[in-house]
Amino acid sequence: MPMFKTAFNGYAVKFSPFLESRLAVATSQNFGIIGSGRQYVLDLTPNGFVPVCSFDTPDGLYDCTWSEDNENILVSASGDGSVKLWDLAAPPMANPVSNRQEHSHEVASVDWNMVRKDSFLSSSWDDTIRLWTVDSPQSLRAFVEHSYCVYKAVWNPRHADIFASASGDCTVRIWDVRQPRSTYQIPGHEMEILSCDWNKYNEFMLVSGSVDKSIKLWDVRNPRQELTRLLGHTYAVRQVKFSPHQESLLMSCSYDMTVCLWDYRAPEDALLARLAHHTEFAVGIDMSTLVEGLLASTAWDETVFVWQQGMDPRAA
Amino acid sequence: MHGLSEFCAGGTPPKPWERSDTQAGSNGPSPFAPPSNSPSTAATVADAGVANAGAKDENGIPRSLATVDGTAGRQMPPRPWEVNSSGYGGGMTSYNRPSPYGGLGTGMGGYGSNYASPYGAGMYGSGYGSSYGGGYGSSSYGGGYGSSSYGGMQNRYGSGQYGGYGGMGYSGMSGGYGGYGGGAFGGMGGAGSMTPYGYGGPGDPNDPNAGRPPGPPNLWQTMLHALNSFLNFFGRLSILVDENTHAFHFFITALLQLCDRAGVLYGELARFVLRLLGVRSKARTKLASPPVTPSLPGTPALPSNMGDARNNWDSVWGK
Repeated sequence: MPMFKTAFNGYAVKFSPFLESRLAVATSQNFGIIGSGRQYVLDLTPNGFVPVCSFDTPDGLYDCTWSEDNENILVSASGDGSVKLWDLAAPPMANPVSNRQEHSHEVASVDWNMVRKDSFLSSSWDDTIRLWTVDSPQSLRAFVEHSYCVYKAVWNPRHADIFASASGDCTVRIWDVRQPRSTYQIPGHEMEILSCDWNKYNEFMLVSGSVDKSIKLWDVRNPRQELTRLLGHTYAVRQVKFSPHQESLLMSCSYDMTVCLWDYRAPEDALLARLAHHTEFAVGIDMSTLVEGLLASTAWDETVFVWQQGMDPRAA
Repeated sequence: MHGLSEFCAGGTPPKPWERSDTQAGSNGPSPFAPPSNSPSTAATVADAGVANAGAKDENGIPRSLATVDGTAGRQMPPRPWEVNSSGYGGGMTSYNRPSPYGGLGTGMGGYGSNYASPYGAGMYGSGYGSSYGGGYGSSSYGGGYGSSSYGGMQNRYGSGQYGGYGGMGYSGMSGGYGGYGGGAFGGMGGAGSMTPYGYGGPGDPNDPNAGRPPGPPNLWQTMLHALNSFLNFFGRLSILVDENTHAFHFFITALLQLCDRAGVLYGELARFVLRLLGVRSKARTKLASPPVTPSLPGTPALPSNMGDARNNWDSVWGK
């Protein structure tokens, strides 16, 4: 399967929910520490990747998410605290079509609501999460409870009003947008939690990945004890993601430069595959909702890989 | 805002889990309130009366957040500006991070203190203490990078605070740089507006430059801007290190090993130089020399491999 070389260090890759061959890749110059960013939109063709367009930003980009309502709308999370909306159908000079500057520090993640499809979340190093709609230039509200950077905020795929957030304060919090405070708090790990995701087939099940190298699965109704723990990464787990197609399949990437596939129902032999196709920290992964088994990853080695589950990503 | 392209044919195709027969939550009652019936998130939030929750008021203080706590998480240390005005590093070493590298963090704490103190106690000392502390203490920003055990790296947040604070200073002091508004300097936000990345100017009735292009930044602003960029760099570096403490540990270990090897290298070099200078050092290994034995009548000739093993008499008698 093909590999694409980006100009900057990769941070996030997301399959389009509309077009099975389209991906968005958020990249940052100089490992996201200093410099500019570039948002790529790529099409996967029989001849490899073809860039559809790219947008340059003055600061690095740490995440991106596709609109669930409009195939041309894309949102990027920027290191300057802004959330940028891009419209692929608009002329280049009109982009970004909206620049939302409310976070006071780097925006770490963005996620579009898959149920109601009209809103998205941004989480930031300023400890807050903000709720946005396309129509309003101001955020609808902020969620201020974490006491450290919020690295990830992700909507529940089965409930329009519920989302989870993972923070450096070592907690995962569950929020209802109608409630002023978080509804559940999971003191999940001994060290910072960098990522979380919902099981698509069980609206109560969460997965979290942490600096303590472990991945834990949770039932939000029992926040004191994890369901299971997956060990195998040798450095901090940067991203975790449940499969959209199989209930027990999940994917993770880590600062140990590997991408792993897990089946949590086989705790003795949960690690299905360990893929070492990246040569720098692997920080972005995604699983296609339109094509079962189609996986993508990006890393600081300035590469984007797309491959079919069970195959070697490096196989041409 | 540019008009968004029109493509709203009901959104994305059904997700795999929506097509599935799996019943969500079939294994127990849902802990979540039922989803609202409103098709609009904005209406849902408005109906719940939580719109703008967490937004800041005109003083930069989050609304309805007077009792924010973090009881589920670890105990976070006080933010640098909550400790005192003598520098950022002070409160950091007391922080007991749940990390196997506590020793390392503590060691670097001293570095943090030294590094940060000029900003706390030096140029920007007590004169600005109040506005600086107030604005940031109340903002929703709670990065608290002082919480990291890698104290030296916390200055990124120092930069943030510093930026907003700089803006305050400028808008208050000179009032003539309203349109500048970039990056670190809050611009003409007016009294008390502590937006760290503020864009002042156009809407400010106090801006004497309204309607005119902004003047170039003076040397002082340029210097502060450069300083902010510098601190911002270390701030991001610190967060990345924070996300990946194990790799950082590995890096430090490798560095120490390198230094160790360098020590050996330079030791050899120093020994060589001393020899050139005539200082005789004791040989580290003494080669055993074969005893000088007179050849006796009847003694067999030395085997042919003696050239390789002149000290190895075992091979002689074994033949």
